[in-house]
Amino acid sequence: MTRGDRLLITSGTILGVGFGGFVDGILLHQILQWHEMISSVVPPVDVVSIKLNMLYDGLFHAVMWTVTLVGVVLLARGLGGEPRRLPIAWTLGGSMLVGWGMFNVVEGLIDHQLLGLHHVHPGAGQLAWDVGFIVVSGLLVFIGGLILVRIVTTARLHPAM
Amino acid sequence: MTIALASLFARVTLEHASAAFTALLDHAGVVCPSCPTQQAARALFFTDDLLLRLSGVLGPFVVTAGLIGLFVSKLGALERRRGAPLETEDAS
Repeated sequence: MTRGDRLLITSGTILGVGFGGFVDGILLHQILQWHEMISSVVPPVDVVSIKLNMLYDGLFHAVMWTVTLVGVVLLARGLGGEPRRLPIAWTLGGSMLVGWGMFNVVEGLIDHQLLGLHHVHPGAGQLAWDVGFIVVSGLLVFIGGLILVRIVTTARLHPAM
Repeated sequence: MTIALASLFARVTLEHASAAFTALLDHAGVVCPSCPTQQAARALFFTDDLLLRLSGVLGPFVVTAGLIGLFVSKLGALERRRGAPLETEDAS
């Protein structure tokens, strides 16, 4: 891989973390109102507890915003004149899937299982939702990884790709 | 009909998987809601130490950053193991 390829893959995975985090934050936290940051310890049942959860959700989004910015900067560097051999769309798409899934798996293991700060969908079947979250995220890593391994190994044989 | 069956199948599978996962966690005795490790980790997180709280929020990001670095280096290693690339230059 050239330096440009490495930058493209790194930026893609970081952007995957960022955009995946926004999907999580917008869809799960805000629209569905599940998965709030400390909802298993401070259940959001009144205005004060909802505000506290909102604060931690805000910290999560602030970090996601910073992560996305770093990804954009790295992407600009990767596309800006560095020599590359890998196809942009597939490399970026595969990397983003890996980053998205990887963060969710790590977040699921640390926040859901280790710290028990929150669960995907708190309630009777919360473990099933947590397991589903990790399984689907692992699938994203697997699909993205397959795409990347394929293009990294075939681009060597077909440098024009 | 097909969608309903698929949905039922997915739900039953997920419930079985979650039951197996719970049993595994309980057996390992490390990470489950009633396990001492999780209780201790939560107690630490909810101390008045802001730095500790922030590190709890930032923990997944730090671990993921490490994994991304590992992943990119493994991809490079995979490419090298498959043979010398046609173009090996580094612009830097």
